Amino acid sequence: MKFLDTVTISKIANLRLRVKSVVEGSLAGLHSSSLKGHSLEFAQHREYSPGDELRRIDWKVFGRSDRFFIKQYQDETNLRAHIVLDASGSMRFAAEGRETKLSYAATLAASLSYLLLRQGDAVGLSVFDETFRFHVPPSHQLSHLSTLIGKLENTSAGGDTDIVAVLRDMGQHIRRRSLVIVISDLLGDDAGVIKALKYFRFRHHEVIVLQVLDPHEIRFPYDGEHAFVHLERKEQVFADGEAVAREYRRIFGRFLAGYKSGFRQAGIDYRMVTTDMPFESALCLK
Amino acid sequence: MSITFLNPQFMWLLPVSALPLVIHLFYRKRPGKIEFSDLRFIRAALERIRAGLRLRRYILLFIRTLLLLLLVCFFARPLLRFGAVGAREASPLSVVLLLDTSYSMRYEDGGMSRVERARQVARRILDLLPRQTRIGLIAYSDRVETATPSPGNDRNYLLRLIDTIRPTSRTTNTARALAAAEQLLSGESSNAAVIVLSDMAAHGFRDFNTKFGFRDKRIRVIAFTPSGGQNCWLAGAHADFDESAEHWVVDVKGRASPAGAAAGGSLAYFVEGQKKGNDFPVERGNGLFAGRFSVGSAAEDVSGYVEYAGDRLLEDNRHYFAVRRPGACPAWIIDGDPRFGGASAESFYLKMLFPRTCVLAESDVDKTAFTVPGVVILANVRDDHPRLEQFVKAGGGALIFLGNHSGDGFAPAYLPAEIGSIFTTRQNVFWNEEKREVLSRFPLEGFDGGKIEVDSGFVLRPREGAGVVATLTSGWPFIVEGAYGSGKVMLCASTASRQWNNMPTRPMFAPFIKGLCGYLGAAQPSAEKVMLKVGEPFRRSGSVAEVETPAGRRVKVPASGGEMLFQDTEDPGIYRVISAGREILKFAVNLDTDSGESDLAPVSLAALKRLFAGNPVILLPGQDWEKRFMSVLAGTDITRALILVMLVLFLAEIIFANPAVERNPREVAGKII
Repeated sequence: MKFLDTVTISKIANLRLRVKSVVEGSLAGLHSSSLKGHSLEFAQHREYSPGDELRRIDWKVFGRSDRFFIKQYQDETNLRAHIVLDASGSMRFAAEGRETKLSYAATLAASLSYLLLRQGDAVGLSVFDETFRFHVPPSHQLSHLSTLIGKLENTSAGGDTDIVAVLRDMGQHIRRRSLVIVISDLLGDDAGVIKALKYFRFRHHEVIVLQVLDPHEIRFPYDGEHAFVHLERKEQVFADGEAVAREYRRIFGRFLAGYKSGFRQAGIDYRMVTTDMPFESALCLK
Repeated sequence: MSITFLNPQFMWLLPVSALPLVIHLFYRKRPGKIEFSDLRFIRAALERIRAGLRLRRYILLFIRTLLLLLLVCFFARPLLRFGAVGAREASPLSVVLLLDTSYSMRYEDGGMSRVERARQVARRILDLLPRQTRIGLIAYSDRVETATPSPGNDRNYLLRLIDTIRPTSRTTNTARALAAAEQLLSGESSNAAVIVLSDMAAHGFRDFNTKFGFRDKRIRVIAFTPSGGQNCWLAGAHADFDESAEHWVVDVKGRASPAGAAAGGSLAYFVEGQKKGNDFPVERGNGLFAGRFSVGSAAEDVSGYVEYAGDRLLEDNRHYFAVRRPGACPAWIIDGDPRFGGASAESFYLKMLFPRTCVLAESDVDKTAFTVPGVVILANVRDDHPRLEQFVKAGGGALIFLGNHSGDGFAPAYLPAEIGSIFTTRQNVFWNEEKREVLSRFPLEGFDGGKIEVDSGFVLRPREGAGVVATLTSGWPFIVEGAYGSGKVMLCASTASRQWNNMPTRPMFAPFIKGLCGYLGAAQPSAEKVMLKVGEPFRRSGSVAEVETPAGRRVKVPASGGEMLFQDTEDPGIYRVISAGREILKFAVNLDTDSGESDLAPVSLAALKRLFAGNPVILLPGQDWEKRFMSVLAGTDITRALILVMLVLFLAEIIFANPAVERNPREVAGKII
């Protein structure tokens, strides 16, 4: 598998994805249900991981196998997660031989899928550029992972971005309360993006935004005169990198700060990751 | 000003300074392409910095080019020099010192005259200049007083020459000195300088008709910053005899620069070596002042001086005068018929008028020295005497009375009328007062011509240019006036005795004849003419005489062609002309204040630059001038200054290349993340 090799899996295996608010679901997982009065019918065992309540450990199984397992019951709800991946042209950007933002984002998406599925949560995947390219509905079967990874492997960066329209469209189609994970460089209309994601929150969805950027987009470490060519539209701008760097950094910093404060006010988890960061630290959402 | 280099071979590296420009142009045309995710941030940044960016880029380009240029210059070791463009260091320096000795240089500054200070500076310059420097010296006033034959290296000779230089009483003409300097430098290299040691007053720089190009050389002209100064001077003193009060009155006029500087000064009047009184000058506005003093003497001639006290240039504070009373000039009576004595003599009445005058016979004429001013009175003369003609031509006066001897061919060239036949009819005299200026000197109402009876005389026919002063009843001229050479001649148709008319017995005779002699004598060097300026020669017709200078030195003045010429009028004062052991005349010599020499207003640098036609003019300060002087002549090494400028440029480059101290981009990114 291109995005989820053994090294990556070993790095992220011990991670748990926790969601702040209460979600509704049909399978018991790490998330408490908002629905009351369900039966306590046993559903399955799951290996213990640090943080699990000790009282849930099945001591009988421990006696037999000398390993910790916890019991999962049917009345503990599971999570429906929608991973929304940006595959626009700007995601193709990579500098100094690093992997592209899209590649990095796809790896993040695969990792998240793996984590969520392993936790027993249902994971769906949507890939967009100007519009939705495809949508894989959520499923909690572990075998669903190979489907998702297969889709991610076939995803390549496309044309122009219209993230605002895509998010608005998606917001109207997700009915059940879910976890929406947006992985994008967010190089669009920042106010529109924040507004669209606020709508998700309005619909009681949990939202996590992972903004993927290349370090060069932040530092702008170019010297001398260059023709900067737009990845999506093939437009170009002549500029002395050294001369504009200072002002660029100021403007770009303000742009990022706008996202940061906008998401904080909307109660949206936001994290900016750069393609030179290790995946495990990129996934440490808390 | 020019720049020369000690290591000019480094100048081949000058094109290196164009490197930033080349790099700029090269990279400007070939920008590399970089794909980027979003251009709107770059566009926004560009929008904000666009104006400042271009300016900053050009400034940086300029600074970098200049830095490289200065770096090349630094290795070439530049020397800043004045003048002598293209002169090689190896060629010896030639210097001409012009030392002003005009009387304005006697101005006292700090207990020392300016000429003495100039001499000190000249000695110091000899000390400062390298031994191989070729030096010439010209001491000048309105002429070249002393000069070395050519520039040379003999310092002892120059020092001795400087010691002999004394201030003169002459005015300043720097043009003449510069012409001499130009001549001195004609054979020298173009690495030359002219050093003017003068008070740099504007009066010394007026008489320039040509500009000084120094024969197509570029010469450094070095002078000291003029210090100006307040000064008052006497521009003229004149004595007039007041006929009504029977005494001499001395009038004096003076000037002050700047106006008002005369306030607080006083005037002292000296006559014949004795102080006669003091007075305060009267301001007349525009810097003019005046004074007047009655001497209380009725002497025939008077001499002395007026002295102003109150400033620091004493030389022009004294003005001399020597005046002879009009009509008091020497007279000689020549009687053509001296055989008869007593009242019958032709010259009897004339002798009464001039008791100190000798009566000469015609035979004595060739033995007598007739000096101008003077009047000869000819009475019934028979012969034409060339010596008398020469005397009249030179400016002497002649009063001629005709008589019976005069009809025998007396016809000298200076006669204003031809002598005709004798008339014997009694006639009266009429004055022609409206036409003849001479008659304005007399009160003619007391000269009643109708009471003058002329029984006999000659019929006169006035020559062209002659004028009739008086006529007879018949209309024939009685007195005819004319000029000959520089002299005046008055011809009377009748005698000076009572034989042919009654005029000698009339009361008007004495004042009339004396008045005529005064008039005829006034045509000669009088009070005005014997007031000379320093350097002007004194001329006088006559034979050998001696002149006694104000210092008491007697100089024998030979006569040539009937004229004596005395040229040694270098000192102001009263000069006495002595002939045959007797003083016959005094004349006064004064400074030429009309030239403006006493006005110490300084010349402007702009005027000097115009004058020297593009040659660099450097004014040194009065104090601590040595360092600047040497830098002007030998050049100033500006390598240190270059290092300083490069350092400043380097700092500027850093500032412009890094407009603000910014954290490491990685740190910036870390903070954003």
